[in-house]
Amino acid sequence: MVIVITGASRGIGNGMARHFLAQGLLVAGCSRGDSTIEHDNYFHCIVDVGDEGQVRGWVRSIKKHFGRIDTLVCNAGHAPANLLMAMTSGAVLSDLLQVNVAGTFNVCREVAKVMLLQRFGTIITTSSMAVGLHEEGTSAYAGSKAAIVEMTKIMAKELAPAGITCNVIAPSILSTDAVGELGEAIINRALDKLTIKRMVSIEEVCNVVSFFAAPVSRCITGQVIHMGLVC
Amino acid sequence: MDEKRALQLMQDAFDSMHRSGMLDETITVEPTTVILGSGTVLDSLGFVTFISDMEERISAAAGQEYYLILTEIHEYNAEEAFLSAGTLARYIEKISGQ
Repeated sequence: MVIVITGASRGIGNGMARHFLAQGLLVAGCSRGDSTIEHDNYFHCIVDVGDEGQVRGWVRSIKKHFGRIDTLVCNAGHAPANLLMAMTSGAVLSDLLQVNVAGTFNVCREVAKVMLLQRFGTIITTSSMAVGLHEEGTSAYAGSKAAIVEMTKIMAKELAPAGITCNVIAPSILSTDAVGELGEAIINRALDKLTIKRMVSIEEVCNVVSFFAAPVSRCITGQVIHMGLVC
Repeated sequence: MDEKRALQLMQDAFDSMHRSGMLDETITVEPTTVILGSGTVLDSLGFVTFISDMEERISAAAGQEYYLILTEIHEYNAEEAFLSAGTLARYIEKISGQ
């Protein structure tokens, strides 16, 4: 089984890539920097997912390298520091839309073409707990993540006749280096807003990915699984 | 790649789609065969599948990567969304000859 993961050099993407490699899967990853994984079953490329041309070439190279794509996890994204809307610059908004929305769109579109020829595939996009919390200071970020949910639901309807499922995973806080840098006070404040007041583990995220990708989940599409939060 | 070869690749793509059950009937590709628009046998998903398949076939035949960008086709009118096999063949000849 071939799984494609964007944003695989660090954070959740890196954790997922290592998890699925350990399970014996073939993994293709990308990031804007060099690979941080060395494994015989890992194929890495430097890609800016916001660049259509780069994404086209990358997806074509995966097809050549592994011959097929069974599962896509669109994980690459930006999460800037919270800013009230009145203080959020157009540049911050543009960057979020380019990476989170256009990046997800570009990768899903190109991978969908491969899956259409296969008449099979699982696409998983990544939203956020921010969409359900409606927190002050997250208008640009939560807006971009809400767009991903809507885009995925429409994609699910368009691709269902070809046997392709499309679902969304919306993790809460994970124990990654980037989150750790936020500091204990900020992390505790965020955890307090969750229904399940603890961090989510990479293994728990991978469990949801595996659930969506499982052969017995072929009738599940257009769904969002929120982790740690009732929405 | 000339027009004749491009039309043959389209024939191969249609035959493949028929074999896989995506098309109920066999199609004989001629320059006037409608790929997109009124009179085509392809639904929207079938059209995307056809174009994706053609990209792979052209790239394999030519030995380098090619992408079919509809908006680059001189004779393609996005307002009317109409594309014939002949128009596509001329576009393929043009990009593969560059």
